[in-house]
Amino acid sequence: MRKLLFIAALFSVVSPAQAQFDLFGGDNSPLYSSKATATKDGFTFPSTASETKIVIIRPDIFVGEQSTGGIDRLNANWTKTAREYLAAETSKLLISQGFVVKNLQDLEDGGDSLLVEYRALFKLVSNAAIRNDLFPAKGLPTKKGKFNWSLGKGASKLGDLGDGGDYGLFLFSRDSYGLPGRKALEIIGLAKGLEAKPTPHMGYAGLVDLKTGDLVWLNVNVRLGGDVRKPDGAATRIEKLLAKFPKRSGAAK
Amino acid sequence: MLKKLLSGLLALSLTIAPHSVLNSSAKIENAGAVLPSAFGYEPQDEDERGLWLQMDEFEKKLKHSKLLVKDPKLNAYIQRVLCKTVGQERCASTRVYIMRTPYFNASMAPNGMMMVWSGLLLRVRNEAELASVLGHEFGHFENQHSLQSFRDIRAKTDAMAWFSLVPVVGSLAQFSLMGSLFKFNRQMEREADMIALNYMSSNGYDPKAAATIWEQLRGEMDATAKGRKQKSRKDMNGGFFATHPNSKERMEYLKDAAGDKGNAGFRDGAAEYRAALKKWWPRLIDDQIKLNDFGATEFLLEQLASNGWTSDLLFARGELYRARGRSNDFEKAIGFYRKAAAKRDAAPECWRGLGLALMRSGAVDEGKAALRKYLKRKPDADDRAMIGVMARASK
Amino acid sequence: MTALRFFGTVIVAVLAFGLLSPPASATWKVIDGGKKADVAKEKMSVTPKQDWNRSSQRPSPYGELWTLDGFSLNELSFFAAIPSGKAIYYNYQTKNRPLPKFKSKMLLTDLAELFESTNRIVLQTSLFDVSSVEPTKLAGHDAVRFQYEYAVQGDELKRNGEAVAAIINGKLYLVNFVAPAIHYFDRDIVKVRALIDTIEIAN
Repeated sequence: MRKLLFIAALFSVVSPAQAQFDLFGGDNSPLYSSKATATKDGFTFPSTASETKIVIIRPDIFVGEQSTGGIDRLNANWTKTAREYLAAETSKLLISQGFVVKNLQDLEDGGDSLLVEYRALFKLVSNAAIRNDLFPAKGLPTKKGKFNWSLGKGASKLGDLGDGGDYGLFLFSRDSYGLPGRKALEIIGLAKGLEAKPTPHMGYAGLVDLKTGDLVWLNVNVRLGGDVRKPDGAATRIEKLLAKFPKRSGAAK
Repeated sequence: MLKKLLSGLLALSLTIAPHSVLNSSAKIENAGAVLPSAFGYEPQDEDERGLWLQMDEFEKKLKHSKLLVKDPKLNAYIQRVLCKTVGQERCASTRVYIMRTPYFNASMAPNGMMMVWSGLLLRVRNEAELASVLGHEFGHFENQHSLQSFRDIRAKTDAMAWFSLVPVVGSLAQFSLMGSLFKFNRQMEREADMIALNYMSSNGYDPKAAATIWEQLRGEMDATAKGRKQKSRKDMNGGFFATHPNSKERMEYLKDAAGDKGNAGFRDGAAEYRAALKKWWPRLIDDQIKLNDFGATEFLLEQLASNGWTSDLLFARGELYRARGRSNDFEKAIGFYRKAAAKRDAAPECWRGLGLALMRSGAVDEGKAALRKYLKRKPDADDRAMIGVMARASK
Repeated sequence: MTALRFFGTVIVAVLAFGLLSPPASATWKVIDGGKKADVAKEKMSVTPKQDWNRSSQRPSPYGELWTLDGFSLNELSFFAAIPSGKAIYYNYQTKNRPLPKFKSKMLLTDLAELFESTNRIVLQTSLFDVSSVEPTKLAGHDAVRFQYEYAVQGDELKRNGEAVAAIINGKLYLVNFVAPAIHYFDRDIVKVRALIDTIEIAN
């Protein structure tokens, strides 16, 4: 069955973003129900006396529906509204913590390749960090327990795009909601002792110091709550995704 | 009890599943009243909106791809051929992206994003052949094949998921569903082929060109096989699980259908095509040579030289033989480089190739002299430091 | 994959590092900085300044792979004593896409051409440019050093690379480093060059 679905998937729509979660392995992976956070050693935000500006990079969002056969279809309305809700809730939460926030929403056609390239680099770096640091079962021995990852000093150019941002926040989330048939299959399958792979609700968030390019904080959660299709659900999602976000200095750790 | 429930559910799922699931030879839907190629077309339902948004995101990234061939003249030319093929108003709904990928292919996304690989441009010999590919891809777009295919896959994999709960019989049913999925795909390919043919003949392109592409590709596959001492793969196509009709079948039905279109003053635009691609030949040929496919490359070079061996083509042939490097290859390469170098517009690299081939053949001093000529003609060459040492050093 | 429909049959693309990136089952071993380490089946030894990770997956019977931060961020490969008639990497698609083979009579410039052709086939890209081919030494033997850059379809990052190759006793020795052009290549290439200078080759 898996093989057949794989062949079918060659002709179907699979989000390019899905590739990001290859690192979690198959559904048998013990990582599948994991969450993890890491902060760069000794990292704190500058004192509350000075302004600290966080640039929110356009969140990478996929909200879809999953058919009985496990095929995800992006739902355009849900995805668009989720992107708005999530960005808005992120801003709200960060502002409530005393940060200045700039949304770097969309650099459309002719926009800077810079953002595209750094987003791609962030993906590589954060995935390497997740694989080797956050879930280090099979990670690189030299990287275990040392959260030192960077996009390099050139990342300051992202700060310039965000009118002098100090930090860049990258958000990724992927949700799929089972259609009635999928849910029925899960129930019937369970009765037969077969567990269908649950529909995904996963995401990660990463904070980059735009002066050094260093990844200073990263949070991954592959079983996220909060229905991103609704404003209060999106708020719950962001609370979970930004749980353990570094506190500003002076505040308790 | 459970069994009863299961079979009930199965029956239910099959009744509510679309017609295509039950009928192994799914019917291609007629396109709706409004075609995606119409001005200001918006995706019509959730499925289509989802596919479009996904491909819009893909396209945003694609615009920044390093593999994109940006040459405005070449892009304008390909777009012009598409517009000539399908009509000015229709073509406005699509965007063509040329990718520097050395294999023969093109692709179409449901939102009107078309990609043409540079390896296709190397193989196509005239505007009419190009038009047949562009028209085919446009046919996929206009008839919403991605959308139909997506729905077909979803419906059939849904049914397969239920069958996976039923031992033995379920597996057989799954297998036949898989087959029908591929069959449906082949039907859409055939439909797109026919759409292209109609567009070509109604806009003056010789519809016979749609079949000659396949003839040429089959010839190339034979040449590849011969060069590698393999059996030709031209008739291999995955059978039951083939996504496309095989090349022979495609060539034959296209030839038949083109015959029905008569012969009313069609043109193939070979001269225009060659002129538009002139600047790109050396790069495309170089990309091909580096694929380690001697037979196919020799086949393509001979095709390109049908109007005579230019210095560029002779040089390329020298490079090809030098790269293969079998016993007599260096002597042959030397001959080609010499002829290429004798022409007025010879590139400095002719002397580089000549020098290296001479050295490999044992004529070291003569080779060094040729390398020195190369450096004199191209003092800022990327490999000047290495070649400089090789031209000097004594054995 | 995507909702793209192709004109002709597609052979599923191998992404960058696809052939080289180890599956999840790969295991790692630390190469300790400051100590001499045998590489590529003891045909070569090298003394790195800092710790590296060596993968249990091999790119060919003659090679091995090291990394600092993961192969997508930096990849250092060593190949030692590739005999005449063999390709640089494992030849996965012998029928469809055979790789060119090393021959002991090759010139130093031929090694750069062999490397370029091999990687174009493996990465399925034509955007692969070799620049600055220059003479150097590898463990005291005449060698060629070349730099290159490439990009692959479906990935927005350009990658830079640098390799040193030599033919010693009729066999090919090659050390290659590749990393994203942004930050990573420049950050590590100096270390890699210093590391290559420590290479010794067993007789």
